[in-house]
Amino acid sequence: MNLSFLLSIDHISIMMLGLIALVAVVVRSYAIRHLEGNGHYRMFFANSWMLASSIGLFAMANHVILFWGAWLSANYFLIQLLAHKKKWKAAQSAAFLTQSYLLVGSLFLGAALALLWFSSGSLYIDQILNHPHNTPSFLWALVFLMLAAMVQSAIIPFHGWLLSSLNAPTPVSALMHAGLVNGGGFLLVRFSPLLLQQPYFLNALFVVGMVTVCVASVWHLVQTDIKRMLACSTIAQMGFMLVQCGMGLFSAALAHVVCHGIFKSYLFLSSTNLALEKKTDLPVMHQLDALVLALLSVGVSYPVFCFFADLPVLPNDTQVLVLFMGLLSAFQVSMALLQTGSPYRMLFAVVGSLFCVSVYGGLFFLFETVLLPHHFSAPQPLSLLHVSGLLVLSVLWFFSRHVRTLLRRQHPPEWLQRVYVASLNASQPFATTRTTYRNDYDFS
Amino acid sequence: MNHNEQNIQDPLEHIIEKTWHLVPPFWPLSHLIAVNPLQSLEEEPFEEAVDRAQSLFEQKELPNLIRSLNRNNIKWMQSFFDRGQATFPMPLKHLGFYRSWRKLAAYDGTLHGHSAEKKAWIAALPEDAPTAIRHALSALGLLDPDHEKLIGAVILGFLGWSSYVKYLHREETTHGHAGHLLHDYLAVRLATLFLLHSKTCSVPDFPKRDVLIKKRSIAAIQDLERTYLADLLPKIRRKAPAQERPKPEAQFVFCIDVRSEPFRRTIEKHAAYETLGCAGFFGAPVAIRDAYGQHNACPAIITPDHQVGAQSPQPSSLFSWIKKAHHALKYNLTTPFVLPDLLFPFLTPWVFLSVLFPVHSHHLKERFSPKKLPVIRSVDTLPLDTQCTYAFQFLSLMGWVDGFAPLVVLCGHGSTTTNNPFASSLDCGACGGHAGGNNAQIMAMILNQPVVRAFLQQQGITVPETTCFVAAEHDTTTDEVFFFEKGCSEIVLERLRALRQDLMQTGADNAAFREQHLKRYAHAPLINAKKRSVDIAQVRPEWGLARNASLIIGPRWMTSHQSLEGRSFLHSYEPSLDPEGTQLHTIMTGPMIVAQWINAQYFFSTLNNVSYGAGNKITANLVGQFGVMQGNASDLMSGLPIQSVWRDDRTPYHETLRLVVLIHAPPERIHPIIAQDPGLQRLIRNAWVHLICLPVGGDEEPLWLNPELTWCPSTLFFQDT
Repeated sequence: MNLSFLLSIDHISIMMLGLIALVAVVVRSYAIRHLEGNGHYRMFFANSWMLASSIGLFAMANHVILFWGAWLSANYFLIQLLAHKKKWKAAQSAAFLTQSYLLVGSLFLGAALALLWFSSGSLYIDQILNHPHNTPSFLWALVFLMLAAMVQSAIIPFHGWLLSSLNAPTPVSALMHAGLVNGGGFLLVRFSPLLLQQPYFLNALFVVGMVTVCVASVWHLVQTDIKRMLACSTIAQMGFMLVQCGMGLFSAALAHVVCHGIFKSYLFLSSTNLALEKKTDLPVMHQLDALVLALLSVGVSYPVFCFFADLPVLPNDTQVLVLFMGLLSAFQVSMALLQTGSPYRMLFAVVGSLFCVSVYGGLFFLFETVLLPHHFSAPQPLSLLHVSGLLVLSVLWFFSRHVRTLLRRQHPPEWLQRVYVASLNASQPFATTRTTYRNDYDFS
Repeated sequence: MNHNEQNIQDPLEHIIEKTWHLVPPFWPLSHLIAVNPLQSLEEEPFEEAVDRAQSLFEQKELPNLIRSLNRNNIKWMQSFFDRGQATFPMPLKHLGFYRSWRKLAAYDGTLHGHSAEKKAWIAALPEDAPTAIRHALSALGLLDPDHEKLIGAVILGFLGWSSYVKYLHREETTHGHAGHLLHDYLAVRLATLFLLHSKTCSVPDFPKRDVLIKKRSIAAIQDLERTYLADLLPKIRRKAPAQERPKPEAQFVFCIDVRSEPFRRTIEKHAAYETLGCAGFFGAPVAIRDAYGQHNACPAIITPDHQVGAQSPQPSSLFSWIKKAHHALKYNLTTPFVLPDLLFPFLTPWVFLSVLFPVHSHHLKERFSPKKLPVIRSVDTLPLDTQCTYAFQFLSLMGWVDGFAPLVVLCGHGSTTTNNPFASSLDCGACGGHAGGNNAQIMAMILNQPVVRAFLQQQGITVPETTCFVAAEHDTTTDEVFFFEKGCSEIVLERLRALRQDLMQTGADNAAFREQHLKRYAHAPLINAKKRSVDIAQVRPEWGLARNASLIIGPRWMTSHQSLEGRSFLHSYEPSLDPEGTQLHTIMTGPMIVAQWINAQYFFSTLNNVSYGAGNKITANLVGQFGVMQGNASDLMSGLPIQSVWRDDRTPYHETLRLVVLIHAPPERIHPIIAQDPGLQRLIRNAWVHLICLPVGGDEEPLWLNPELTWCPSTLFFQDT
């Protein structure tokens, strides 16, 4: 047997390996000091080393059994890390919950891989991807693949395990949010050539992603404890990754997964600083002069963005999402800086806006170019569905500050009170994973 | 008041009051103040109180009824008391806890289960909390005798959150408001209980009185105390050294904090420096007003009458713009999806640098936004007579009437840690859980005023014209000393330069001393201390006041020649200048009480970190910018984390022993002070502190004030009765 067939080293696996290596090195160094004196010190390093290597292997695997095995092994070691405190029932319960979710996800993946093997006759992923498919078993394989990705990336309605996983020590959460949840995104990117053959499936991904984005974003902003806020944010970010996949922008999705992994692991590692920092309020939207000036500064940034991202001025496909998000962030930054009251605020607004578009655009271009040989990126023609998705995103953005103002009023509208309570309830961790009595907790 | 009279007569109100009395207040993370978690039990002898607390607070079992109640309440507690974590805050907060909950409960399916009957019940809940409590109790179908049990379970079964409510109530009432929170909280809890369980068939048997918990051995605690005192007593010098000491080049006043003791000892070694100790607010009990609001900079037992403005350090404008843009992108519904990508090029190297090379990355950060301390510009808001009184009391409390050196440094203390929820517990407790630099600046400014000096002269305290008071702040984590030298004359600045050299060396020596106990790095103690202070991964940046054991009230010569291992609070006191005992009275009712609170907090957090402490930092989850929960959601974890008091998961670092107070004064002066003060009597009679008198002159044996409040030879302290 030729061993080189087992692994495939390409741009995606290198990128994932880079991410895992960086996060693993950082988390290890952090944990050496953070877990000092902890009774499970050695176990943590053993398990997290196994976890990181499993993810690494998973990123490189080309043989379906190796692929599935690595996936299973990563999830197994995660559960070991979650169940670190044997005497703390809530932690045990959270580990059990995660195990149930991830086991179902792994079975989905197993089923998908088995069906792919069945329909293509090959055990090697590169061969499966190149094989023409149109059998029903192949379609079922894709359905299972998508389900597996959704469970792993905690997409609604499979988010329960991630929301309930915060009984874990901080370094474990950092590893999990940077490594494990990305597995879903990686899976979709890996099998993107197959997904691209089925536009309906892409649309399904888009819709599921969009729902997750809307719901989890609201959850994120109603949370009052830092770790659950971060967990909700991860769910929403994974939803956005799904939206990108659904639009055929797989290389952008991969970029997002990598960036988010580093971002979120750092936020967990420095969560106390994050929680105690003084917040500045969102910019107001109804200030006419600021609106006009912000539009002006976005106008200046527009061509710069198109240049950096190497996009046409008016893309007629789903790449418009990149343009939309880039310009929206430029606008938001401009608005915030215009409301500082500094005499140079217009200058700052333009600089801030140019910064956003050049970094965002540049990064998009970079990933597109690097991943070009894999033909990941296949922007889809713009449909009504996509346009309404963008519309929803704009509405959410525009009314964010307004919702905050409404909630602080003497008489907030009843529907908003209902939405508030519903979001609060929906974003609670699973009942048995909450510590209802302090003496149930065990620190060792 | 009429309302109060009603309360006394009403049995239900009496029960409520009695139960709340058992709950200690818990201060928010922004200014954690040490309290005795068994505060309310100080009326009982220590041994009995510890037993009673065990059955009240440390029970392993909680009835399921209360568990499900807690499960439902945590989210409402979190949301209502949030201090700014959520971008979308809980609506209707202005109505107060009970009323806003009542409105929103109508939409909460987990409460009413969408049953029309229960929805109607919520709608029919009375407007005010006290009536709602009765309403809920009668709906639960409870008879009067059961009320006490139920209310006990409802409040004590959720102790952390109850403690925070108690703190908020305390704040409200000290500011002159009526304070509805205690009733609001109870009303919400009882109404929830009814909604979740309708009629309770059985009243929860909690806290069980007769439950068998392994009784704690007081003997072990006594052994520790005896060993400690047997070791300490011979170290204390009883007679003033005969030889005349050289005139000091400079004098330092430090906080009584136990961390000052090794630092003072090290400074004194370097040159002819003299040090004194007093409570770290330097006799200026004020409120500080800065850009972020107002806080009390004095011990929690004092309510300040005056406020002073402080100029808080402003971050560079570039920093604040970046922050503004960053937050604008972060806290809304759509742009957070761009943020990870935007930050990627900068965050990636930064994550690596800040975790792997904390000191280097810190220096890099300092280059862009150097650390600055708040500056007091003027004390004009304090009336002149107040300033004079503060100054006089401050100096005379330490028995300091002459012998002022040309340079007197008032050295407050603060700490620098990062990513540490319990940072303020390392700051100065006497300054209300804040750094002491502000208070030092205020007192230095007051003492430098000619008018104040003239007043002091009239009172018999002669401060030479050449003497200059300078404020400073000792960073207890890094052992650096920062001087507030703005406005100092050239001569003073010259002196400070020389001083700074010695302080650098002092810092290094003291860091080396502390490093022995942190036991990880053997070399370069100053750099290690710095590393601990700037490292986001660090859970033990410094030991704080762990291992505190005694308070010594007397002149410095008693202790200056010996290492007390950073375990003693030191308060300067000159018995010959205080024949009436007024200063001693102030010390015993102020600093001594604060020291006892701190001692008790460390004691109980070490004894049972789950029931009285905050648990492990590695699973801590910050809630609402004021507290810590464990994991997904839990009771609010009041107290100190395990890392503050235990060396590792198995070995405690702090020693659980009660505060030993040693007073250098004639016994007949101490006795009346205790006889007049019920609080002090309670502490001594119930053996919450041990009091040892070291009679002036040094010929007589130390005396121990036993729980019967009679003096006996200290040897009896070491014997079992």
